[in-house]
Amino acid sequence: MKVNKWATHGACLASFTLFALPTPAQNQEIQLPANIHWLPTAAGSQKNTRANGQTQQEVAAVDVQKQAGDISATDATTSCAYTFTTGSGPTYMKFCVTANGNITQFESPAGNEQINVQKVGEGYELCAFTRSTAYLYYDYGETASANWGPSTLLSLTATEVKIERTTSDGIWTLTQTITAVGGQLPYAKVEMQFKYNSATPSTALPTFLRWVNVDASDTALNNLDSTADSAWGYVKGAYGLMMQSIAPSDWFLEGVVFDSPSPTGSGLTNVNTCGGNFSGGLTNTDGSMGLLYLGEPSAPRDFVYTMTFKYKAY
Amino acid sequence: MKRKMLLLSLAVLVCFTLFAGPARAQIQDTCAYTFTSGTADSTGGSYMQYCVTASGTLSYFNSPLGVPFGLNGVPEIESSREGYGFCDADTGINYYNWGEENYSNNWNPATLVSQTATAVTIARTTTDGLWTLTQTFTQVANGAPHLEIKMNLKNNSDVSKTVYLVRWANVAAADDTLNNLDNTLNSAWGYVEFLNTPEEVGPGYGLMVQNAGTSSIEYSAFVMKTIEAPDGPSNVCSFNVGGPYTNINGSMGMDYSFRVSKNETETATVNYTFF
Repeated sequence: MKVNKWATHGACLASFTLFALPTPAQNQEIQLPANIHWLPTAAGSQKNTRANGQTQQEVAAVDVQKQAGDISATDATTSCAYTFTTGSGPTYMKFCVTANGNITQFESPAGNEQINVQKVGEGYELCAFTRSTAYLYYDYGETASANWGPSTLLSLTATEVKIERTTSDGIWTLTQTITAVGGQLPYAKVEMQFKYNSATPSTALPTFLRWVNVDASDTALNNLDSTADSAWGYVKGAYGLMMQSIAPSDWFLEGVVFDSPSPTGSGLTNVNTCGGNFSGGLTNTDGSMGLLYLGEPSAPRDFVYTMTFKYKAY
Repeated sequence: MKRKMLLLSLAVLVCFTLFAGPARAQIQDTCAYTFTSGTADSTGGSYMQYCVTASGTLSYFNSPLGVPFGLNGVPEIESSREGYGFCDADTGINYYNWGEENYSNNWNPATLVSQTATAVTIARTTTDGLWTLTQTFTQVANGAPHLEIKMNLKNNSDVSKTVYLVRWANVAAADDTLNNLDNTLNSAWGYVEFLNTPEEVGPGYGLMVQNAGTSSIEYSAFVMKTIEAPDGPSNVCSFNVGGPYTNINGSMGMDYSFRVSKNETETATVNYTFF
């Protein structure tokens, strides 16, 4: 049975729903797309090619490979644009980032792919809703809402990539900084900053979701569960992938799991189900997981919501 | 599942039972060295506090702190039941200290080797003089706070030996003794699922023990449905593991297997972290 956990502890949501006013900025100042309640997915989704046998690769130093030229993507894509590699054997980690800031490949330890298996999906969602309406922006790699502008590469180093994109209505700018952290227990650090651009303060309640179709150790059927700051999928007798908040957050946060490997099946592409339809702990399921943040429902211009988490194998 | 073990003679087992059973003479399992890092902010995400006993076990591990909804949702170790043990597979003799004064009596008193603001090193030698275990507990307080425990086991004898070394904890995540437990190849954990705390509403957390490092020695993570000897790892050469377990008072650990040459040292490193 699916359980929307917010229904049980959502006092803040309830109070917001009762008392929040329509958002002037989003209702008046910004010209909204006509199809705001129906967001078609971008065409051209493609599956990335599976990494070919680079197991036990001996890589002493962190290495980054830019696999494409200057990239400005608007369509959903799972194609690798920036690849980071560190460590070897048990400390090996290789992950890649698309031009839009999706992490569509994560191999760690060596020989254990955690994302790029069968159907590939990883990405982010912003859902801002008031008492009367809601606004949904998402990009899960395999599918994306059509209300994003192109992505811009801000910087690239041997260990870090920084990507920015603004919603096509101009209200929000997402800046992602994704860092490869090597060491005995390597991880990919992801900092997401959503900046509110409108001159009119928002009263919309924003929720931010980072989501991934986990396929731990090359296996679609996983055990999945979550705590207050983490979500994970794993295969007993092999390894797992965990996403965990790693910085103090000003926002309400929880880990969530879904009994579907797709954004649509998880309710993530439906503006009426912000944050999706969560499940309890799952066993031997082709599911997915995420970290869900509930932001402060008032934002002046240039207000920045910051969320930091990590992907790690375990 | 029963782990492979060497066949031990009954005589050796009897001798061990007679001479290496739990003793109450040494009281070294109380909190001695406390380390605190991070802040107890609204989500408590960076906070970590733990205490190392004089004998090199953990008396508690709290992280994070100050979580929302007023809950004290901290992963911790139940009643100081955390510690170490190893089995000399060539003799069948066990040397262990699982905390809460549950230890074999074949240890000499532990000695403090060094102490800094972020680390403490403790050494102790077995009463037969064959082994010295030197442990370094290091606080890692960066973006992913955790406790690193480096266990250096030296073979003081004049022959090579095969050893099974275990780090073990009776996890009580989020202040709840009833946890869900399972393991992968390099990690074991216990946790309380979100909204499954005794207060019925609020966040759950977990505690994970994980192999760290690039050591070539064999290792595996395990969970157990019990917390007490003799069903617990009182015999490090052979003990029952399993999982996954749901809503039980269980335990978890890392199990290392290696051969160490005479007068040589082998190192196993584990991390404790909340999630």
